[in-house]
Amino acid sequence: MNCRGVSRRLSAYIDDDLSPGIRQGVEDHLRTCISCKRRLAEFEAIISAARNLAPLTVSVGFQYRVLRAVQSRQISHEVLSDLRYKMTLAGVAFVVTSAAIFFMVGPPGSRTPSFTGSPDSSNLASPDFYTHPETKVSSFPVPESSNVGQYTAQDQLAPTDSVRPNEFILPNVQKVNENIDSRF
Amino acid sequence: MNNGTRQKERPKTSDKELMELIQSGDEKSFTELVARYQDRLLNFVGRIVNDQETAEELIQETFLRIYNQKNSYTPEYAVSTWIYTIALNLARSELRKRKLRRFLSLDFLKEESDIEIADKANFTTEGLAPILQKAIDNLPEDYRTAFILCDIQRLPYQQIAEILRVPVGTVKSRINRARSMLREKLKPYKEIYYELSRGIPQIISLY
Repeated sequence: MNCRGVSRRLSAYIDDDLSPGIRQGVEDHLRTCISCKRRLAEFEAIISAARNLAPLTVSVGFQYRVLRAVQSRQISHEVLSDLRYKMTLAGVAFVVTSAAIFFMVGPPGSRTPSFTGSPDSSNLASPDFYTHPETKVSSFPVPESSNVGQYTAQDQLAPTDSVRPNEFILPNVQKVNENIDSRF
Repeated sequence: MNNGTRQKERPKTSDKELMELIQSGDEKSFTELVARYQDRLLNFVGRIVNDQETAEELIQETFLRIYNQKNSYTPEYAVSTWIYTIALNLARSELRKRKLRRFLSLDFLKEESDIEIADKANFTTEGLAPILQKAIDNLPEDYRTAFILCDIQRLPYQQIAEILRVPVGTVKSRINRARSMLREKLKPYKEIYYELSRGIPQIISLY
């Protein structure tokens, strides 16, 4: 083995990490090469000096600080997960309520019943509501013989805060029933 | 590997048993783990970042991560490997931040002074420690970490490879290179580190 080969394996030789054959080759070379022997001595001295460096020790109260930090992190983690749970619950409640309102009242714009009156009624609360493409009343099936057109738009679109639901629905139902009776 | 010199006295509860207890919610075992590893980690992280206060903060964060991620530990690796890996990642992150701060403050334009000793004649063995530490600091990060794990922490090559996530051959090469670089850096103080090293009389007799 030459100097280059030994130099490459010097650390493994010191750390006893060579196979017996290679170790023997390194030792044979070291017996005859003063340069490699010096290099080995310097390596070992550096390692020994590094091992003799004064060990660092943690400052007073370090362990207590660590344990306190773990506890406070744990508490904040619990508070966060509790908050997350409550937020999830509130979210679910909101979705359920919204869904219930949607099925009970219907989507916005569909509050006009299918038996509505004439779209060109002069008493419309908001003409735009009827002329808007999305809420075009003319698309609703209105029988020609129907007399529901007698109702004013105010009856159908009266603001809910001024008219109680029964007042809004009952006259319409009654009229429809009359309409059905007149046809059959 | 000479295990006899590297293995310390075996504790009553093994690290793996301790981890199992921590995973089952035993807080006393966590306290025991902190007591067992705090100085070892300080001598590892402290030598990498070369600042005790920062090193203690990083070790505290290491223990917090150990506690919070206790269930992610699997007995496939040694507990110490897992702990060293967490500490090393934090230390590397700190070094990256420092590098960025240095770059932003334009300090990189100033040349880093290498080892400096004004009065070499009055230099004592006690004075070598900061010189050696400075020489270690000046090593490239990969070599420095490998050297600290091998020669200060005295871990076997295989475990160092697992911590650094590189092949054992790479570890051997890095350690050999680190020792060669230190040898070059410390050439002017050869006599002093020989004195400090002690215990190798047959080598000292060469000179």
